[in-house]
Amino acid sequence: MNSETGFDPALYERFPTREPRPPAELEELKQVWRAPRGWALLTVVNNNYIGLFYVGAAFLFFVLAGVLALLIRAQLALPLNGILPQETYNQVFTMHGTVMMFLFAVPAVEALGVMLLPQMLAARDLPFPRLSAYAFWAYLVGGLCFFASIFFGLAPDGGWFMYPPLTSRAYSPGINADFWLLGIGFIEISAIAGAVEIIVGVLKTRAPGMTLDKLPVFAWAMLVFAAMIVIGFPAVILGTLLLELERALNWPFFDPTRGGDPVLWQHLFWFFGHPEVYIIFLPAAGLMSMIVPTVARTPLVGYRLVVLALLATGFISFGVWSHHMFATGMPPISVSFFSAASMAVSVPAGVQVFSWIATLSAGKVRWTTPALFAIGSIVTFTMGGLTGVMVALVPFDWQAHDTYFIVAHLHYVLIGGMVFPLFAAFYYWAPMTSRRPLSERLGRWVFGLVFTGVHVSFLPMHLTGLMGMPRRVYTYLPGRGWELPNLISTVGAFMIGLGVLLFVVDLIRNFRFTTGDGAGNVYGGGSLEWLPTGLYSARSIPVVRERYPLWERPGLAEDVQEGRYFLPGAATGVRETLITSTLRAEPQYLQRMPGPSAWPVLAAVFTAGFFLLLTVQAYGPGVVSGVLAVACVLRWVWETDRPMREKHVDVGAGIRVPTYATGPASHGWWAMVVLLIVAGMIFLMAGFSYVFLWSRRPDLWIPPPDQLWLAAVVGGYAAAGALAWLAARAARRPVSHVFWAPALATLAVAALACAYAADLGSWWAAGLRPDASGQGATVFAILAWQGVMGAAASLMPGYLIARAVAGLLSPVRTSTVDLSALFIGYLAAQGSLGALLVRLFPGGG
Amino acid sequence: MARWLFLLGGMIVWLVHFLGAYGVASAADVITGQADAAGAVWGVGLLTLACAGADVALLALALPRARSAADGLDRFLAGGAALGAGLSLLAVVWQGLPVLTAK
Repeated sequence: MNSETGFDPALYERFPTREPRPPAELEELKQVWRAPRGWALLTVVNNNYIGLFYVGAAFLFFVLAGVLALLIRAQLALPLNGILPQETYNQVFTMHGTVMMFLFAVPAVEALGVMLLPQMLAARDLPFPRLSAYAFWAYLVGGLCFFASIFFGLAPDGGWFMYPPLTSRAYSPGINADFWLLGIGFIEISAIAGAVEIIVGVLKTRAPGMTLDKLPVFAWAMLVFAAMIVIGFPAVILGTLLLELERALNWPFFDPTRGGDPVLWQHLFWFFGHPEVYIIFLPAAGLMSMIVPTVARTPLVGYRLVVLALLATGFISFGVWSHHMFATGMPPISVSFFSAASMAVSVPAGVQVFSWIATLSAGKVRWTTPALFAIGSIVTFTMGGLTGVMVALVPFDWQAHDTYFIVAHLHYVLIGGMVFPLFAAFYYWAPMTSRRPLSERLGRWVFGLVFTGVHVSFLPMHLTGLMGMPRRVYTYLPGRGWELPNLISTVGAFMIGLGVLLFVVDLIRNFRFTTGDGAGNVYGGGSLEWLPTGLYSARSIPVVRERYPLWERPGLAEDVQEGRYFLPGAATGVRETLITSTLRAEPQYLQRMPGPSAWPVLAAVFTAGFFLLLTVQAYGPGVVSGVLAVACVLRWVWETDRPMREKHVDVGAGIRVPTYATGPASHGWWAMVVLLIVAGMIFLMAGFSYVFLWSRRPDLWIPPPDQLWLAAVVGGYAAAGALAWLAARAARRPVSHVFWAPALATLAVAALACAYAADLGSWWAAGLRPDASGQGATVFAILAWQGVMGAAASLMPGYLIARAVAGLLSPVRTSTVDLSALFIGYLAAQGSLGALLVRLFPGGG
Repeated sequence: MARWLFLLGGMIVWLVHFLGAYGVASAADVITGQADAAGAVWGVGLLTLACAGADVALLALALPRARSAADGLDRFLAGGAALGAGLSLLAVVWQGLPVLTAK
């Protein structure tokens, strides 16, 4: 057999082991992984708890946004209705969309990832449990404060896509728009933190033998989902930063009178916004691909095609952003490319739908509640997909644009593609975390009400739209034929509400959270999450040889529970998980994992505080909150990269692995690389903004500073990169030279600072001002981004010196220095590329 | 990394084609004021041919590998690469068609 890392796959034959396990081993494992109690539970990091908190919070926001939807429908039930005043209505529909998209849909699927992936991959936990905790608390605290803005009349009111110029200072003078722009900052951070966790988790913490062709489809879906967040979210992060800079500092990114262009916002927003639909849909499709085989009692038909469809959707979804902009006057040939891509993306979506239908057809379906929701999803999503192909046709889109037809289409896609699979998942996986399964009887009622309600509510909206009713109007005149379809839609909306209420009743009656004695595999699933688990996940980590191990090896659960596979206890006496290779999941090393801590919670609270205090223009407290957030993060990471007593340990059957790794084999390296890709995407989008604005008003652009300055800037950055590389080399020198690496890192940061000062100073001396033109705004935005990252880099030398003083740097434990050097090296490259772009393109005035 | 690139090869070709086509048309719009200027149409046409050729080459490379693969993972990667190249070929040709309708 082939090997990826030099590991001999024949060693897998040693499992299951036959020797009895030491009697105290299981008890020690329980002790190591036990959760804190009482108020200390707030510091818990185990995925079982964080996953449940996360899912619960996402569901709370679903209910809150649903209540807003009912208010909208009540207002529109009759013409000239007076339930909501116009201004309030604007806030309500904006918050409905924003909360559903940012506070419910993305966090809900991320939450399910945190909850299910470790068990599905048979890992002890995801590789960065404190990062998961941070992501959750930042999301919860920030989300609740953001939502509360509606009670004070301060909620955003420019639609969930916040188009300028409506949201510019001139037309939205209050802080409502700022709540959106800064308020979702913490959600973006939370989503990216979760994405880092999921990518590294799926690639590096799989059970041995779980090669890519045996990876559960949900894990594939989450991998693509997280990669899409990494590529897509930076566009909206940059967009929100630019719009906030325009509003706060008068930098004219979107003001056409000074060389800006509001269409730039649409490009940035929709480069995120359309993939966002697939970011939501793909994990839900992954859930479907896990549930459908179980309810049909047969393996998924076309596993390889489904995986390819997930990957293809991930790629092609980034080529369709402008189909939201067909009405902006883009050149016909450009529109044609986007129209073609929009139709092409229906192919991989269709592959998945046909796979589910084929699986249901090939098996013997048990008509349980998850099965009903799965069928409901297929029907509803397919209907939404078909209207999606309709609006991909440009002439049709010009007619339907901004009408209720689009409202109907997007709700069919999102509810069919995400909400129904989510309810199926609630029913399907509840027995894993609850002592009792949810009620089948109530579940059927929930399905009946929600499914019927969705179609009663949204099917008539197609007609309302085709009859000309525009979106986002708070009322309408009688006599246009819109009264009846609107009334029917309102009735349907309240049916959905009743169904959700019944689901809450079901939860209250039956859901009893547990981490060790769940109701079990009541639906007969074949994947690893149905192994008996505790807070440590599975007792031992099995060797995976098939896609449905529990179906094909009936004795597996018992062997795992008896500790007959990898890592049957706590090999080093602390929390740990097995890190495996990315393709073949071969054991590489044992990762020490962090336990409960208050620092991620505090960091999250102060992060949310930073954004929200800035929103309400409390700048002083906002800055203090930001500094405290950084301090908490530093204190949190201080506890990482610690020495282990044993250099190698036995992880079962006499197989020994190292307890430490650095470089591309390590989980930390992968996390840093993913983080730098996020930074790189923000930079790339800033570069796009620069070129785009030049193409709008080149007459307003001034020549760059003398090119000698360019040589100085690039030379400074090159020196910084070289010094960072030397610092990483120096970290491997004997311990007597332990201060060399921090000293070289200090010099590298100093070189970064000099190059940055030369870059900034020369533009200023050349007469460019950020509020003067699109050129000034984008050049200074690129410099500002470099400056923010440089500020983070400036903390690193001090941190390295402190670790050297504390004796935490050594030639065999170089991860901290390696990752710092990687960051500084990246920053040097980004600074050079930025300088080259803005000084060589277009090159003259 | 090489195996990931192989698996995702078709998708990467599609990405290059899409961004290239959009970039060429946008550049033509800025430079000549006409996104479907003759140069742009020829540029996108040639790009389409090149990308379709790359997809065919990937297919020719991946299909025999999928048949002769030693184990499940290699078969999965080669089969996935072949399917991806096939889908990409379809998407690239489909997206290249608008140049035929340009004036």
